[in-house]
Amino acid sequence: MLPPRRVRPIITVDDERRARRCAQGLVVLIDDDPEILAAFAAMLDIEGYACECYQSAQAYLAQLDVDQPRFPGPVCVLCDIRMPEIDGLALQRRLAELDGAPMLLMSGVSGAHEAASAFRAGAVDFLIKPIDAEVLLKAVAQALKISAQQQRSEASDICLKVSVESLTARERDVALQVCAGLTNPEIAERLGIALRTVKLYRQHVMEKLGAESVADLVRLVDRWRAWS
Amino acid sequence: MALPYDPTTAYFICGVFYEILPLMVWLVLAGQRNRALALWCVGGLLMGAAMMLQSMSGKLPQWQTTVLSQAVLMASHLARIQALRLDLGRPWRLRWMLIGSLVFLGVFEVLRSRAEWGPLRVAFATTVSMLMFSHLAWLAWRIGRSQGSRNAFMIALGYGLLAAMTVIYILDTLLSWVAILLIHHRPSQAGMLVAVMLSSVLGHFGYVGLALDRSVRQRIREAAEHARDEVSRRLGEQIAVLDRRRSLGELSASLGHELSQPLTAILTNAQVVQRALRTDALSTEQRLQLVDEVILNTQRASATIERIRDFIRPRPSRVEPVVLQQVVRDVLALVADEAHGKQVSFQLNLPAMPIRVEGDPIQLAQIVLNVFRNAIDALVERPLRQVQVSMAQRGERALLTVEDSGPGFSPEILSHAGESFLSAKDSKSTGLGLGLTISRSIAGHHHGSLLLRNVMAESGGGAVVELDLPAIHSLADDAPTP
Repeated sequence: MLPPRRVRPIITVDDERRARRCAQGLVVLIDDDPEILAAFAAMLDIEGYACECYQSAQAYLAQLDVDQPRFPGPVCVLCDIRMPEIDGLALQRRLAELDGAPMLLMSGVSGAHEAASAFRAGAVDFLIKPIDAEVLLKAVAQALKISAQQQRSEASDICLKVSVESLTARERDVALQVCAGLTNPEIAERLGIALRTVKLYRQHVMEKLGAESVADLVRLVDRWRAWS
Repeated sequence: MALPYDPTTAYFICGVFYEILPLMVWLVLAGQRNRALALWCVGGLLMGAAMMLQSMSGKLPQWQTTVLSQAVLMASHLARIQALRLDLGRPWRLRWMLIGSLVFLGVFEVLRSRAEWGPLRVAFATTVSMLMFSHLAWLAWRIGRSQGSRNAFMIALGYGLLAAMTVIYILDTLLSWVAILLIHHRPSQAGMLVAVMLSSVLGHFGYVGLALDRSVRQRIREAAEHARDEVSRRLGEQIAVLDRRRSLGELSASLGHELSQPLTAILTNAQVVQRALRTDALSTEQRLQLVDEVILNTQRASATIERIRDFIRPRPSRVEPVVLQQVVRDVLALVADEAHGKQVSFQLNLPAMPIRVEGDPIQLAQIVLNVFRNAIDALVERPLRQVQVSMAQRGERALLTVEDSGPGFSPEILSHAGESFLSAKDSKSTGLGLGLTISRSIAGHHHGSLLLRNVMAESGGGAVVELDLPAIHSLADDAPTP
């Protein structure tokens, strides 16, 4: 029997299109009216966005529970406020606990009350049906931009975490002392090591964390401290 | 004395007058005969008979021309008095009239026993007659006053004149004290007989006029009643329209949402096609599909608008066979969004066989709308939000039952349920009360009823509204089952 051969995957046109869409972003549509879902999906599709449609908030939440590879690009949720069982505002609160994808709420009624509660719940925008294509696409673009920023900051957090973990105990101590505002001789005296060694560790820290100045280092260490 | 006057002939002519005129009256008023008219005419005929009997004085046995004629005369007075009293709604008791007549005849007989009491007897009998005529005149005058009828005054005039002439005759009789016969040659008697003739004419023509007056008044009253009914029907329709508008006004947020859905789909689909045409994206088939969506959603929106317009447009009520199931489904479409938003679920348990009732489809829908909205409102903040709608035909009745899982009607509403406008003071339930009250009156117009009650507390205690309407016997029931 031949051992299974690793085949290099063939990249099709569809895959390329999907990659482009992924770069543009995914819009999760939630509305209890299938006609509305179809119309918005067609609009977003023609504008090059990836699109997922759900007829209720539960259906979307159930899908989130399933352990599936996540969409690799920016994601936003476009959801109607008035829905049975879990309405748009309740979903917004739920999602804030889960993954915090930016949310656009829409409604057929231009109630000041609804708009106020939508923004209070942290919606990026509140759209009133019928929604003009320009308005819709602008809001979607804005929400996806926020999502992309979130994802970028998440990615840099991970980088920082990895690089912090690569520091040795001594290097970490030195970094903390530097951030505390001590000079090299003071650190050497405190840790009971040679001044030369302190300088060496300090250089390692700067290299591993990718900091270009002491100010840079202080900022990175502050971020690390914030989530550790 | 060259007066061409013979008392017996005069009496006879008066009698003939009193025979002919009542018959004439009876024939003229053929369309509106009643007991009062019959009594009046019989009274007239008896008077005529009495006069004729008296004119036969000397030719017939004496008891006939005296006692019998007086008895007949008394009967004629009483019959006419009773006729007018019936008109006034205050008839005399028959027993008292009989006793009075017998007493009168007894006294008359006593006076007749002695020849020298002749004038006294005549004076007595004539006085009684005079009193009767006066009473008739007084009754006629009262009728004239109460009904504003000039014809009644004419009767009063006739008998008043007769009474006055009779008084003169009595005085004359008592003064002369020589007359032995009832009929003899005196001017006062001639005057009285002329008055008798006049009274017969005035009395009977007056009576005809009175009856005609009354029928005209009756017709006016009927017309006024009809007009009042018409006004109240119109008002009822207007109230119904206002109630429908109020209902839809309160539903406007959810109706707006319902309308905005197809409009959103239309706008977005149209804009997708626009973009596709500009950038040359999508196949023709895909574009056509989008245009189909636009058309479909336009129809959907226009159906919603049509439903709303039907509901708020004022229009005369009409009666036609209505399928109750259809009414329930139409109304459900109107409140669907409202129920959806408030997370109320409707469970329909409708028989497959259509149940038909006779009535106005919009007004029946209005009842169902009020009942449904009442149920939806009652379910806010309840853990279980369900409305059960069931329908059944039991013989000649169609029964629609709506039961909700809410807290039930308050004892206050149930106790006021029968009143026309319940608990208007209670601001919280005013709307509910008004809607259900209007629904109840619509049900009443359809010969049905709207019953409010609560389920037993142990089985939930929800509110139950039952609409009971007369069903049309469906053809399917008559058809022999294969």
